[in-house]
Amino acid sequence: MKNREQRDLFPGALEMMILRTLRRQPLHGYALAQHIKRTSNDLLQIEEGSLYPALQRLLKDKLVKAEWGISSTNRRVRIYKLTPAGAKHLAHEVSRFEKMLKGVARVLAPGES
Amino acid sequence: MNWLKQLFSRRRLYDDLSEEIREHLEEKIEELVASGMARKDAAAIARREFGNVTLTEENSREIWRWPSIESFIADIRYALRTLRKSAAFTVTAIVTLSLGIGANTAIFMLLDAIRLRSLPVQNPQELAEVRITDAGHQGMGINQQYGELTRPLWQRIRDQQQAFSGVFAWSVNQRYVGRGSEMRHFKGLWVTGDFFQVLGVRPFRGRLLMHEDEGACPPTRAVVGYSYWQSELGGATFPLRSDLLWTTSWSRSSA
Repeated sequence: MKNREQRDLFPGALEMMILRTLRRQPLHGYALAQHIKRTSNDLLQIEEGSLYPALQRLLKDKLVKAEWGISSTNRRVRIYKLTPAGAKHLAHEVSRFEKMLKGVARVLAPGES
Repeated sequence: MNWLKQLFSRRRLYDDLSEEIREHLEEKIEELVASGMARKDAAAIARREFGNVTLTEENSREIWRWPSIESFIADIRYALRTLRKSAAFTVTAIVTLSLGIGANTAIFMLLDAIRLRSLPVQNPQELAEVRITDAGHQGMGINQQYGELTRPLWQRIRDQQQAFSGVFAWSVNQRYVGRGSEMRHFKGLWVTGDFFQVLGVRPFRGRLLMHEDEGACPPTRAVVGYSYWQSELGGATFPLRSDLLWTTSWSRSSA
């Protein structure tokens, strides 16, 4: 259960970040984890492992697809790629997230009530 | 057959996942070693940052799974594994259970035979057996083949008893029927004429023996049980073939 709490800031957040990262370029699991950590300035203390259940969920929903390949460091890796359905899902999720964020920000904004 | 295909593809899926996670950890270790860390420390850090590998794999697999059936099977596997590990406990449990079940079955079979299952006659609870209570001496004859009573004794009982609404006598009749290689053993009873009336048995076909049939020698009439009729006489229709040959022990020796 601890693992589950750490995985998500809110339900679907990790999936959203994965999809967003994969929209830039196809990546394998390790690179994906590093990228998310780095771009969030290490703010997100996610366990790298929690990436994999999220990736499996996305695979199952056909939002990403995976293929074995060779990485730039000459490793056998499974590279994940965004599918068209994934791109659509991402756009939808991002707009939903932005709406929610706006709402939260408005509530938290000082001096208005 | 889709689920079957899914079942097989799932194994590959699980293997892929394990390999992927292994590669992930190795890549991380390599990177940390390249930055100047001792391999041992690198491995520890990689594992810590990854989190619980087994749990991760488990959580990832769960996504593909029909939750109930597969985790049920996994539970059974786990139970079997655990049982195998503690053999002494397993043996004790199995022996205890089998003894318990065995004892219960034995007692039930006994009860079933003596209390629950009654004879297929009209009033089985009203039946009683008349015998001579002569402790240590079984039967009237030289050996047990002669049974409990002699014919005169039986006739006296039949004519003078007042305790029963009806009485009959029987003796076990294990003889052969048929000729030569066709000869078959059968289990039968010699019975007195009132046998079926007293028991209140009704025939499936034809008629049963009656009082008037008594006394014919050699016996000319017989009643066969349903299963014997089916298996040995092929469920033949009436009248039965008349050459049914009774081979008694004395007629064999005189032949």
